[in-house]
Amino acid sequence: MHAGAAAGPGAGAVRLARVETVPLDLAAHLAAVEDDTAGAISTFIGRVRDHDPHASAPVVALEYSAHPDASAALRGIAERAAAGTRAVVAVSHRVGTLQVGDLAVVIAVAAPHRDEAFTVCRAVIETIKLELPVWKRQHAADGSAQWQGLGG
Amino acid sequence: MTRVRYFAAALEATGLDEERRGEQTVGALRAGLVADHPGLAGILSQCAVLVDGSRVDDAASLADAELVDVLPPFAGG
Repeated sequence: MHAGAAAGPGAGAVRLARVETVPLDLAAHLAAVEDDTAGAISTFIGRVRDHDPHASAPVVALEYSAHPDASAALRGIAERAAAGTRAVVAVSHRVGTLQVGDLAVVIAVAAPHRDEAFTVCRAVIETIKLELPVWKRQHAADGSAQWQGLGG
Repeated sequence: MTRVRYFAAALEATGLDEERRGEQTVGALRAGLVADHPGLAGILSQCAVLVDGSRVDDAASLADAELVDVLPPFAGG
């Protein structure tokens, strides 16, 4: 399944695309994109940070929830990013309550050359931000909580 | 009757995962939801309303709709 010999131009593929309730594992994503055609692997990690311009105090946790179709939507996002390329993609988004430093998103993209690996990886995270039906509520150290993405 | 599901901030504002509604258009549904769930007033205008999986405008009919999702702005990543 990981043999690259038959993979011609435009044979981009998604090997992992999932919304997870358990901690994300970068090594599992690197293993998923292992491919003899790959001369480059680009990774992206989205983490919970301790501050936010909209928070009234230091951020202590993010509470993520997802639409029931979110895993399918994530696969579609990855497939569109890989279409027309030779990149192979593994991507996961975590849901549940995450503490500062926990991983919210992990992406690994392998491709014959670095430009394609970077470009596809960037496309996946940017499209996740716009289109993945996931929500987060930010909890601050003063006990306040705010839904992200809602203006006002 | 149409099954209406609420997510994230909309779920919190209504206190409901879902309910059955009888409105015949999306616009009427939006008005009815704010009337019945005042907590939605500040956020419903920012929410997408998906009818059987498709984004539609307020004139869209709900006569044959089975499932409506009320989706606050996405905030993944």
